[in-house]
Amino acid sequence: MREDLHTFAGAYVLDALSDDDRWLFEGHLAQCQACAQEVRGMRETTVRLATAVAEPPPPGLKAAVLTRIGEVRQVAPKRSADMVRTRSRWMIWMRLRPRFVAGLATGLAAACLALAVVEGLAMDRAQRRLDQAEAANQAVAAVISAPDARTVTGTVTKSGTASVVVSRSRGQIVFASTGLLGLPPSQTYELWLMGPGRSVRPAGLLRPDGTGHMAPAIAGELRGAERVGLTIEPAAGSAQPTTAPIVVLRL
Amino acid sequence: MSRDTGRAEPARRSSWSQAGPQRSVPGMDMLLGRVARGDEAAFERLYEEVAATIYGLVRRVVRDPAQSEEVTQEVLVEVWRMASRFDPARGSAMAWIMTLAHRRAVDRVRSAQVASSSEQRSAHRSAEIPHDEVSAQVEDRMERERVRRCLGGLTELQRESVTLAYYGGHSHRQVANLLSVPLGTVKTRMRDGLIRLRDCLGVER
Repeated sequence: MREDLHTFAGAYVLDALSDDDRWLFEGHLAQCQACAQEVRGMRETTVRLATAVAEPPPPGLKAAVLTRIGEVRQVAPKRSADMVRTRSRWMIWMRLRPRFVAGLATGLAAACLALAVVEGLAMDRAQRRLDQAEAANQAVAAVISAPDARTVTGTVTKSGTASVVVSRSRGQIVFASTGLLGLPPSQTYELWLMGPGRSVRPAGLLRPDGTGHMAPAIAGELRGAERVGLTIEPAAGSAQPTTAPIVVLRL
Repeated sequence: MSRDTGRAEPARRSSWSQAGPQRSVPGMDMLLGRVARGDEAAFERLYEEVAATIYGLVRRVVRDPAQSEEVTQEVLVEVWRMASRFDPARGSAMAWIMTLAHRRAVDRVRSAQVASSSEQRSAHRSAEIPHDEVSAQVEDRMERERVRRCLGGLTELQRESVTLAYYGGHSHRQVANLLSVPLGTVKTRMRDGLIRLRDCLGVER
């Protein structure tokens, strides 16, 4: 199945997308003026759908709400548009790399502790990790928000769903999945780029978290690849697939 | 005298034709702006404008009256709390509020979803706009008719995809299962359906 990210707009406005698809689309939305425009028009349309089913609320509601707002502090006004953009990029990153963020936080905490002892060295290391995380985030965001980004989704044998976002203009793909089975420590998921012809290139080792979720990651350079495959391999990974693919996505 | 009345008639009608929810759109944006500055009187007026629409939608999605009331209250308090985050450049106040409301309602049903088959069957019922059970107080028959007519102008698959998701609170995956069509098809029907509705309803873009 091959889909264009633009087609997510309707399901997005109707709150019908899965969490993964939603962040994919929101990443795209931040960069796509036409999509933002379309979403705006659709939102106004759903207002009309809502008005058409209006019905009087229970009589006690108004008093309850008015009492409640007397107890709830309002959030501070918004900052400049620049800040908003930074925040939304940050949000995308938070969604993309939850574990990396946790690792980063640990890293920073460690850096702070070490600060008193070897200030320069620790800060340097924390900064490097920050730079790496930022670079990974930007690379993923760049692919999913590319104008020609398209998503291919497939069902994984036994359990789960896998998606790749392909941008031919950037020559890169991003791989994401949910619901994959956990693996014993002796095994790993390995991603493959297949084609042109019969060539198969390893594209990275992947390990889902406890819930079977894998953060989206750059799965390498496209370079004429026609399909993406996923196999289960020994923990160290293999140079060529040793088992049958559990999903193959045609790019 | 009679000439005056004659002139007044069409004028009233033309304001009717832009009636419905848009009636108060510029006012709503301003009201929400005042709410953002902590104006409780403005919030009370905003309540009068939106509470019935929020409750009606939440009720359609959540169905249980007590839970619907709870969610409606949460939404209204959230509107108060987050009012400063409303950005008129990104859409109308009403769209902002109803987006909040729909998300809350959907979150409520998804988190509580037992996905029993009886619930799935009721989903089809929930996709219809009720003819009755709406008091005259909030009824805007023309608007209601227009929405009904425009929904009627969609293909069946478009209409079902849009209403099962919006009124039924179903995910696109659930909609695909309910309608026995592929996921990708549901996504495109939702988009096509909303675009066609938008054009039929003459929604400003």
